[in-house]
Amino acid sequence: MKLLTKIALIILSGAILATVVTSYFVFTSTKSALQTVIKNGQEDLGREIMDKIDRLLFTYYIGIQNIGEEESIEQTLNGKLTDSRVIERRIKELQFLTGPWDVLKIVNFKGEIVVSNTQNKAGKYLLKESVDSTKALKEALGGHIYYSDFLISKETGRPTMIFAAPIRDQDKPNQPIVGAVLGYIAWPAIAEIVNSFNLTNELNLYTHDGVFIATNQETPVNLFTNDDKIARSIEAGKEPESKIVALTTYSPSIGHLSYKGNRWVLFVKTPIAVVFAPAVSTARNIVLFLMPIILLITILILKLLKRFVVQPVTNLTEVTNIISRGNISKRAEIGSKDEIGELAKAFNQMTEKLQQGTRELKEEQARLLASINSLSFGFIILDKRHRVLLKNTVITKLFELKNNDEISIDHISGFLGGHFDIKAEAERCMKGKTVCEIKEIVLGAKFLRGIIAPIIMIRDHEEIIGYVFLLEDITEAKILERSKEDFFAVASHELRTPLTAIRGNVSMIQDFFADKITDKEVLKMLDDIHVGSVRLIKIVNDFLNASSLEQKKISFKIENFDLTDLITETLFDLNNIAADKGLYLNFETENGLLPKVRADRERTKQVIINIIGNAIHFTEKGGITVRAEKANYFLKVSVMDTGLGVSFQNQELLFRKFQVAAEKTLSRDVASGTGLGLYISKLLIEAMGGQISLEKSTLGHGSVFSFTLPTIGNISGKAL
Amino acid sequence: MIKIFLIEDDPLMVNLYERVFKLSGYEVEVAFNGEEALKKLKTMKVIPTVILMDVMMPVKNGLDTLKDIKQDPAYKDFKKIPVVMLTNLSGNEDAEKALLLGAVTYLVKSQYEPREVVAKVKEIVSAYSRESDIPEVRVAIKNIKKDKKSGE
Repeated sequence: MKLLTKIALIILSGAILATVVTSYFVFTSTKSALQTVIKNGQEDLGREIMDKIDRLLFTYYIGIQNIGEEESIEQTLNGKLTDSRVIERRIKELQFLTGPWDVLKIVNFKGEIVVSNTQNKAGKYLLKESVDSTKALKEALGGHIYYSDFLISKETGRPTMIFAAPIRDQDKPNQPIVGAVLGYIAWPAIAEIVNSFNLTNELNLYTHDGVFIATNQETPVNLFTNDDKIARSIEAGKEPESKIVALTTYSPSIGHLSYKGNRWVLFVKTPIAVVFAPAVSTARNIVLFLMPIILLITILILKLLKRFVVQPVTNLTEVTNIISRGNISKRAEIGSKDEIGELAKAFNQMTEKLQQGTRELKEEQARLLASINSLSFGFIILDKRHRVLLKNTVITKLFELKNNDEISIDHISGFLGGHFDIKAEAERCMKGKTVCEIKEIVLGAKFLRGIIAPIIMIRDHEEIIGYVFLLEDITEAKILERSKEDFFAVASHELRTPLTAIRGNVSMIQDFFADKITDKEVLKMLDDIHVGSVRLIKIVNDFLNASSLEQKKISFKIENFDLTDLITETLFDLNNIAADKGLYLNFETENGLLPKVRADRERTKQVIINIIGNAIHFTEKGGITVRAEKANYFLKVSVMDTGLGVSFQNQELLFRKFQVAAEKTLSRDVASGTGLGLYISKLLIEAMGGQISLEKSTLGHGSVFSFTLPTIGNISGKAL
Repeated sequence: MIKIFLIEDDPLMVNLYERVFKLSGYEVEVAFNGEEALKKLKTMKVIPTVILMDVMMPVKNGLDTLKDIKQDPAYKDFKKIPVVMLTNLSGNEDAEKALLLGAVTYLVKSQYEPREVVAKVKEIVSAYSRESDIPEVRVAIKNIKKDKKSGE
């Protein structure tokens, strides 16, 4: 739900609640006052009506009295009553007969009707007519002015009131009563008074006995019937029980004649509809005028809210969205100085910081990218799930990618021909937290070298967050190395044939034609040519040997043989050379039989000749001691001499290819002087699963060289 | 007269060996590759006593030629001629293969003086001519091999 809707709902429900609550309080506080007002109105109305009725009845009362006191009315009592003409005349003479009276009778003392405004009654005896008339006559003849209550009269045949007054003989002293006048008023005359009042209030008129005699309602249900309930209420002077509630009220008003109370009761009832009419109109006014106003105010408030509260918030939201979509330079407008304005300001500050941070990050990234792009080798940063985060241009070139191509670890593995599992390798490196090297990856015509380095982030503890994969193109180096090797191989091979021819031919001259050469110098020259060619061939052979060993082109004939036998045999061969220099040549072995070694006998001999040959060559005094001993699953052969020793600087270089030939006295190469002797020995021993080393050497005091070879049953020895 | 059949592509080596054998009193017949050698073998009036054959040769190399001589029925007449292989480098696989195919021995050319080659051939010839019986030939071969090893 939108903010505005929420606010609108709150305002409207508040307004409605306020209206209802106010109405209720107004209602309860004004209820009794209103009741009083209504009651007063009712009493006034009742009094007014009853007064009117009283006045009318009083008129009749006075009227009948006046008729009785009419001048010479007593004279009308005389004469022949049977004569209808006399009656007619009298009626004409007696003008009062034409008053408001429905029936008017003049009765003599004997009860004989002398004159009546209804001709047919004249001459008859009143006593025979009705009890009510007789009562009235008696009262009048007794000297009283009489009026009856509501009754059904025979004279009118309708609800009627009877009035009566005595007629006196005014000429005589004492004015004796000579007759009476009786007047009948039929009911409608009274009912009309009640009926003539408005319909707003319900008016019900009862006699004191509870007879319902008049109403202003259109359909009187039970007029002229006696209602006991009403009668009892009247008797008790209380309002009748009813279901009238709330504002509805009624007020009994007792009417009476001035002289004698007839005790009629008028009930004035005000209907709810009437009571509520003002409230209804007020409500209508509220609905018609107030509600639109409330609505208008609400709309106004909402508009204001929207403008001052919602709109700034919405604007801020829009700006936030724009920023989150990457347009970080966007700023919020600061419209006001209120809390929202403060919020916008704070928001802008935050964005500023963010932008600054992002810029710094971008700069950092640019620097990093430039750095890794300037590298000569392929560089990929990956996270620990092997997703590529960063790669440099070398990678793009290497894998022939387009600039924006995404690359995954699977791609890389694919590019590398699936020769090894980078993922597994990387997992291993990350687990061990070590840098791993993948020495040679062949990619088409290219040779690559890979390095995997885990990225370790130190926060609370060390955490591996990924790894760096370096890929170096070593093709050029490889080609160089290859061509170097090839050069040696080819050159050596091509050199050898002509050298062999030179050597062979010189040798043949010496063998077959020496006697034909007379000049001794020529023979000496031929000797030098021969020695030179032999040495040259040895050099070439060493080159080729080393090259073949490096390229692993040489096959070994592995067999089990007795190394002590081989040493003895070799020492025997070399003994002459040592003896020539006056050196001793000893062989020491442990007691008991040494196990046989597993190696190539010829190659082993080659190594022994090389080492002992060196020892003899570099020793001038003393001699050489050879020792063979068991060392775990190896046999170790040590050659100790008492010779020149090897300088410290040269010790490191001894087993390298082409050791420094210039320092001839300190280098160790006698076999051919190529500097390859110890290098070849090293290659041979290592190829057979052993190790060769210079154990110790002191300048001027001699050296100890040693090598090992695996014995039978050595399973850890390299497979050959 | 002992007849040497020299099969070698390099003229320098051909000259060297032809010369030393002739100077030592042998008859020498030369072929420059395996194919030529096989053709010559068939047309020869006198079967050679010893064949000296280079391993590396154009057209048809020494190993293939050796295989034909020893295994092809077409050359069954020459099967029993002792063959000495000439190689450039000791310890290479070709030389070992040659021994398996039936060569008597192999000589690393650069390691032998010409007279030593003649001496080797002489030994083999004497071994073969003294006894044509096969077991003894084997003994001779064994001795030759042993010689070769210690002489290297």
